[in-house]
Amino acid sequence: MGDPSQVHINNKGVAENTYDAIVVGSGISGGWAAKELCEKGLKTLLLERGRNVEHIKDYTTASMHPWEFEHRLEITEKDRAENPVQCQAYDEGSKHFYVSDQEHPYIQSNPFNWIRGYQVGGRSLVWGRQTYRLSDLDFEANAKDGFGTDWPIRYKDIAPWYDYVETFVGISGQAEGIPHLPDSVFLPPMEMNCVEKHFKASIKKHFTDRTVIHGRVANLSRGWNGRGPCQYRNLCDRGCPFGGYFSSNAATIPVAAATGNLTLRPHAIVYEIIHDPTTGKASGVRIIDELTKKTTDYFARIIFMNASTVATASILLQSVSKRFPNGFGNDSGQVGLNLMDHHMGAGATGRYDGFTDQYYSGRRPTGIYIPRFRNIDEQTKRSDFIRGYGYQADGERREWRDTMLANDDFGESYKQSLAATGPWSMWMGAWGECLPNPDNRISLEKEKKDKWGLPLVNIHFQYGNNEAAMRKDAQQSAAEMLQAAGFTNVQPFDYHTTAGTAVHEMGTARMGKDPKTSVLNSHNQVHDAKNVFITDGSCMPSGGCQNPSLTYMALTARACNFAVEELKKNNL
Amino acid sequence: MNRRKAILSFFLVGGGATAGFSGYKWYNIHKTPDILYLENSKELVAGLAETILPASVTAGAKAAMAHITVITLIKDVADRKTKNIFIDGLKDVEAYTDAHYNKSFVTLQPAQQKAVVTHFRDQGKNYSGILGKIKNKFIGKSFFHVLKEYTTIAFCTSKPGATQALAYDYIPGKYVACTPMVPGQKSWATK
Repeated sequence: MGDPSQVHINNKGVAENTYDAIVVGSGISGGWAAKELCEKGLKTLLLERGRNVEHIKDYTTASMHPWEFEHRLEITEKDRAENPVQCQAYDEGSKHFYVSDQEHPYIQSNPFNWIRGYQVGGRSLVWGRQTYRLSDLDFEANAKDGFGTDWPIRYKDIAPWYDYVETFVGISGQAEGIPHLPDSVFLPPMEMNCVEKHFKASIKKHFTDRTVIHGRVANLSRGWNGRGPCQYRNLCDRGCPFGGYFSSNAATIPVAAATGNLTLRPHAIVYEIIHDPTTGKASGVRIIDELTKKTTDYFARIIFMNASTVATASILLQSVSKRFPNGFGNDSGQVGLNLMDHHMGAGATGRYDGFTDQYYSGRRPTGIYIPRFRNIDEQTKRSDFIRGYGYQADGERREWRDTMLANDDFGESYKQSLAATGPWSMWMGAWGECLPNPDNRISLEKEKKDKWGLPLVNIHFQYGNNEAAMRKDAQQSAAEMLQAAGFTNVQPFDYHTTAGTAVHEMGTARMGKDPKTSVLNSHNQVHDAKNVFITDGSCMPSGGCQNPSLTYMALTARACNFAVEELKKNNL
Repeated sequence: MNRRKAILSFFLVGGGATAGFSGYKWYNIHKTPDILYLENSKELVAGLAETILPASVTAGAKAAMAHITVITLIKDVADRKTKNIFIDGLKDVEAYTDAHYNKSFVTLQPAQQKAVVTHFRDQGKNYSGILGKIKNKFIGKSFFHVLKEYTTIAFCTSKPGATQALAYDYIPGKYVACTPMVPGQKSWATK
């Protein structure tokens, strides 16, 4: 309309909405991006699609006793009907940290559990906290067997960044010197109980290729950086009022905020990265306010995408421009492809009849770990599958919940038997690598919209023969290890777990050496828009079998450092 | 996924199977549960729960108000099949005690109550082996098993159950990996 005052207002709007950096998503990697960029002096806008969750204050169930929950932490019929996916991950104490399936629908071309937590802190509030480094066995895997494309980095590139993030996070564990599961910077480990120690000694005696180590976990065995120590309540997924484990809320966001450089904007659903045809880069992002549905543009010199694997890929696919008609940074056509999870739920259980006079006190929030022992070298090479799996395991005594239906007794003798401590048992389950496969992918359903008018995500995902063969081996190997250690009633199991249940979604915007076959370069920059960095799980060219969050954190810190160097050189 | 949840899912085997059962049995399992009857059966549920977990040196199910929780859990947590098994079971108990004692369950002597529960336990005994598994999957657990399971959950998660009958440590503060059992040691209420 040519009204000069309106132009003025617009200009002011742009200025007010302009930052040095924008971080999309406040989960485990986004929290790190915010911390690093703020500490390096960048005015940083942290966008989160859900509500704010303040450390301690908003952990509303953290101090509740079991009897204070109406349903005693059980999942209700209503949960199963209304939140059929999320209720597989939550209980009555953590439900408020998971989305509503009804409010946040998606399409499952094949069954896939897309577990989400839309709030400040994201799923860092409820994660499993197991932390293991990748090694060159993982970084070289694609190049060696030809599945997926080669990682553009090797262990030496990320090793100092593992050191760097671990020094801040605080990881309990023990150095073992295992080449393919490199040691972290450790706090003291959380001890093994007597049956686990026995198991470790037995495995050492009977197997030359296997070892049992302490679970490596981002729970603090001693006070660290003003947080913790862990109080051994094992109620982590309610949020920890003691800051006993690492989350964005407890650790990275407070540090970012203390710099004075952080602006946190909850309720901001990013739906598009804005492409500027004059610079050839991204100028900012568009958001819809979750509550008012009002749209706003925010601008910055660099953008970090940390919305989580599936969400980041869907934002890229939604960001259609003249330059990127198939989605932002998607010249390769690879955005959305190669979705991976870890397959889990295959292993064995057994009972141990010794140590009847031994027990434990406190509730340790981790267990033991058996690092991968398949396809490490020529001696351990398998003919039936490539790559491998590690076991998480746990020795414990049977208690009332495990024994209540063991017999048909009732009355006073039954009541006494509940208080009696049952036999020791061990549970061991494999977390296994899933091969990158372009058929496992997400796409957008343009005809089907959510309540904000955004297209629904469709997930296409199936495990293949390699994963099936690995699961078979994981059951047999677990059973033979338990038997060798003198366990009885050894029962292999396969839960036939729905894909996605490990909540380790990876891939969909992979790093690579060649822009024709990958989305990101070795510094997590979008090949064709270098001021956009993607450092959540979507960047992973392969998944290893290790719990992946630690790697996202290290890649994020590394990319932030690179981004700021590039800004200083005026390369961005 | 949360490790503990992964472990738990092994022990809590879900139902949810639908198969070609037909006729009266199918209807009986899948009919709309008589929730009003359940809500009006507080005394009966309390009596049955107390028979499963009676007062001894520590509080029993009734003092722990386990029956109130059992009703809540049957109403909100149990699937339709289990609701019907439980509610029909309550009606069967009343019919049985009326026929055999000419009284309602709650007015019987404890020994008589025990005899009644024993009758229902034996009546509901599962076939062994594969037949039992099939029965469990399609028809559900017996009334006795549902009663025992929900009473146990309600009791062991109650304050008296957790803190008196079992050992409950709200904030352990430390982890001791191996510690000798002491005389009278009770097992932990929570994992």
